[in-house]
Amino acid sequence: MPPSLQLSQLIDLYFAGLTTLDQEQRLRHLLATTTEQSPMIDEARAVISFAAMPAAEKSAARSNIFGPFMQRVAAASIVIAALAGGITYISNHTSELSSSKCYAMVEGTVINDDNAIEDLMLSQLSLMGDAADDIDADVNDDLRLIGDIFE
Amino acid sequence: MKRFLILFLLLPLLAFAQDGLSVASLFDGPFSGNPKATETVMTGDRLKSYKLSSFHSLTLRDCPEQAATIESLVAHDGASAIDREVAYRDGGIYYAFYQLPSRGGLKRYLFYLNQHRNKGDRIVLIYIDGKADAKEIKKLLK
Repeated sequence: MPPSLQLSQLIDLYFAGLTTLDQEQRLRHLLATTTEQSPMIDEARAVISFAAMPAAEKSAARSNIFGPFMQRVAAASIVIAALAGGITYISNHTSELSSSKCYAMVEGTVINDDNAIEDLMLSQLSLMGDAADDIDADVNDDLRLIGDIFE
Repeated sequence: MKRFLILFLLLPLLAFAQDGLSVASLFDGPFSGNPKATETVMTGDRLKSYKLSSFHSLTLRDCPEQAATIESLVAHDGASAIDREVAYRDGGIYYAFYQLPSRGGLKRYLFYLNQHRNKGDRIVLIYIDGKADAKEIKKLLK
């Protein structure tokens, strides 16, 4: 239920910072005595109450926003970030230290000869090279055709 | 609210865990023991002279029916490539070279070839990572 007109107007003036001293005192009295209920009145009461608190209490109230739970959350996030960074660093650098792997399974037959596997690797890369050359040749042919048109 | 915060904090770990590629599933063993498949794995010292850290390849002979699945995975990973050369034939990828975003200081590359689109009989997929740049990788193809 919206507040009465007088209360509503005073609340609007208060939040706009336009209340005189008398108006503010009137507003405080109304908020303390009214039986009306609305979110606007609740908000006004909360702000006026906070504004009325001594500075030390205000500072404590602010710090309580980051209460024990949030402190634990902050600590946990630091630990997790550190762990994640550490795991990434270790995994990236131990790959250099760990033993080499070199094996192949060729159509059902296991190959353990490092030289043979290296040759296999190079032959597979060579297949890619042949395909890339093939495509380059196609592209050159197309460009030549276009060039012929403009001659 | 608590659950949301916990999940939010775990997100960085999840991101690390899922930093793989779609094509990784092809190297995880689905073709192990397949008489038409050749799988090659090399890591470590043997690759130092090439400035590489790891080499994984899968070659399928006479398996044109596998092309659609493999190509969709390659295209998915290739979508994030920082450099690419792709050639299409007969409505599909014939050859593809992708330089993928680096991870952990290693440059990553993906090669795909479907010879069925050029009168051949093999599908070849290669994943490479290491310190070599694209120019050095392409020299390996010669």
